[in-house]
Amino acid sequence: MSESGTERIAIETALWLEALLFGGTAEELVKMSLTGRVQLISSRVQLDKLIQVLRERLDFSEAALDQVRRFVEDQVEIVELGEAPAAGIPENLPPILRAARIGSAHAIATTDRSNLLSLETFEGIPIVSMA
Amino acid sequence: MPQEIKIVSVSIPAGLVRELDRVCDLEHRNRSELYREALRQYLKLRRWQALREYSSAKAAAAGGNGVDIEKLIEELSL
Repeated sequence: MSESGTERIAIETALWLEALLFGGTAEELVKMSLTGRVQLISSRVQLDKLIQVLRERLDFSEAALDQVRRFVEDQVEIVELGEAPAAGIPENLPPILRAARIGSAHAIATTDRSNLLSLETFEGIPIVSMA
Repeated sequence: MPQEIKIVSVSIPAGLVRELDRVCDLEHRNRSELYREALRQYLKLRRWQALREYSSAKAAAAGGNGVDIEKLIEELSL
């Protein structure tokens, strides 16, 4: 935990989808961010992917997509993955891992289907299932 | 640019005010700060709930149209 007492958690794109569509534990994580108990971390490329899936696969209206984008941008610290090479982070790493490193995450939250879970940690950052 | 501040008058039960004042003391904050934060959290929660309702309806409709939502989440999971 950070000195301020707020956990910084890098959130996987699939977890946002799970929270929006089904609620459950993934939604609890989002609600914890509403009360400031955790600070969620993501990247522009992850947010764009979420919006793309909602638009193309789930037929969200443009107005609803705008609401989702604004909500996520208000609630999440969006890190710039362009800083990765300068920070010595390989560019071929998945966006969530780069976001976790650049955003100094304390944990990486994924769905229970994620292959990342088998890693258990990434550079000392625990990878946990939140769904 | 500094935000415009409006002063509003609201009615709050005395017991609730006492409880909030105790929190103010504990957290070393004034009433206005605490009430502003409570309102912001409430509004965020409302926004989230509206998104959840819309998204659940879209998921149900997509499921009815043969979209495999579980597979979609799996695709997005690394």
